Amino acid sequence: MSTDVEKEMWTSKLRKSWQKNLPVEKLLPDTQPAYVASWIYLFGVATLAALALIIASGLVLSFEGASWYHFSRVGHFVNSMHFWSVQFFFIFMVVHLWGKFWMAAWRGRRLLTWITGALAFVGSIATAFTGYLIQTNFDSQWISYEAKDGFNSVGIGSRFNVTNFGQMILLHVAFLPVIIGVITIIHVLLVRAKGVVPPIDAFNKELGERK
Amino acid sequence: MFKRGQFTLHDRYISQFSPFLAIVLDETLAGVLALGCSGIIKDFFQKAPLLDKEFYLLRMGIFSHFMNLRAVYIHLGWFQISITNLIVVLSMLLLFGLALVLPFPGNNKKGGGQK
Repeated sequence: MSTDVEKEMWTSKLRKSWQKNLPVEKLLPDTQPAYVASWIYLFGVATLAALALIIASGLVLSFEGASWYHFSRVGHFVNSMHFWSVQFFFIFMVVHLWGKFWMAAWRGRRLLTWITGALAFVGSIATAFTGYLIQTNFDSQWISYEAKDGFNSVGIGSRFNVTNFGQMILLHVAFLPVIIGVITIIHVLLVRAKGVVPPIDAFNKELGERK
Repeated sequence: MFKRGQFTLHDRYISQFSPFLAIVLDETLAGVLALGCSGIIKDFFQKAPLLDKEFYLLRMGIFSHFMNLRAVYIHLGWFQISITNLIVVLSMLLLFGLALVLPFPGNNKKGGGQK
C-alpha cells in the first residue's frame, strides 16, 4: 500500500528519473571518450572558468562600490579583471559555439543542450549590455542615451528603461546573473547526462549509426 | 583602405575593445618604469624636462593613451569594421584553427586515448 502511494509522489518520480538519467557516475566521471582529447573540447570549461572570475570580481565590485573601483588602484585592477574576464568569457564561448556548430552538437538527443547553450549566449549578451549601462561614467551615459531610442522604437522602452540606473543595476547584479547561473547549471547537467558529443565520423564508426 | 572616423564618445566606447596586446604592452611599460625608478631610467626622466602631456603619457602608460584615441576603421564597400574588433575576431578564428590542428598532450591516436 505504502509502495503504491510512494510511486504516486512527485518526489519519488523525480528521484527515480534523476537516478536513471544522471547517476553519480555520469555526474562526476573519471574517464572520457578518446575523442575528447582535443583542444576544441576545452572551450566549454574555459568559458565556465571565465564565468567564475566574472562572478568573483563582480561580487567584490558590488561590495566596494563605484567610488572604490573608479578611484583606487586595487579598484581599478578588480574593475579591469571584471572587464577582461567578460572579454575572454565571450571569446571562449564563441569558439565553443563554433566548435559545437560544426560538429552538429545537437545530435543524439542533445537538442535541449544546444538550446540551453544558445539561451545562455543570448542572456550573457543582455547581462554584458546592462553592465555597460552601470559603469557610472560617460560611456554608460552615452550608451544608455543611444540605446533608449532603439528600445523605444520597438515599443519596450517603458518596461526596459535603459536610462533607469536602479533598474539596470538590479538586472545586472541580481536578476540576469541568476538566470545565467540556472541556465548554465542545466546546460552542464545535460552535458553530463547525455555525454560529450562525438565527432561526426567517430560517431558513425564507434556506434555504427547516425542520429 | 583605412578610414578615420570623426571622434565621438562612441569611438571611445569601441576603443575599450582594444586588443589584449595593448594591455600587456602597457603593463610591461609600467613594469619597466617601476624597475627603473632607482636606476638609469629614473635619472633620465628626472633630468629630462617633461611637459604635462608627456608626464601624463608616462604615468598612464603610452598604450592607455592610444586606447583612448579615436577608432580606426577598415572600410571596403559595404563592409566596415574597426581595427580593434577585427583583431578580436581574427584572434578567435586563430584560436579556433589552432584548437583543431594542434596535437593534444598525451593523446595517442593509435592507442585510442582514454577508455
